[in-house]
Amino acid sequence: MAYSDKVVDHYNHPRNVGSFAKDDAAVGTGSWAPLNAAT
Amino acid sequence: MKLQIKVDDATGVIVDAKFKTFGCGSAIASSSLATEWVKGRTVDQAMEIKNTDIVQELALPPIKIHCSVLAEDAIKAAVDDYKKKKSGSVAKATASGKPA
Repeated sequence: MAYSDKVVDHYNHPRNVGSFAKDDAAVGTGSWAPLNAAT
Repeated sequence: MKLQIKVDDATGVIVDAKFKTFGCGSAIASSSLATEWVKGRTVDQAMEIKNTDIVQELALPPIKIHCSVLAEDAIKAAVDDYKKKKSGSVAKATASGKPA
């Protein structure tokens, strides 16, 4: 199985990595374990 | 996988989006793509993004479909969280201090 070029491109150059302040009223957060525990 | 949206309260348009994903290449690509797609959409338009759209765009193989499902769910969870916060603050403002 090979990843498509687009997957590889996003993997090598991920867009919009980072985070906002979770308590900001204008920010919505959706997250899934196991990352929940870490953040 | 964590996906966050920043919403313009006045228009309901998602002005910015960020993600953090520790996972396979497909999960990273799915959430990266998701942040690109939600920007400029309203929160309701963002809810219309389907995991099958992500599968198609990234040409994910069947064994990696769940990565796109996570990304779709993350968008929906982020929108739900934003809406919950928003209705909470409205309720607080109108319910004379009683908790909702």
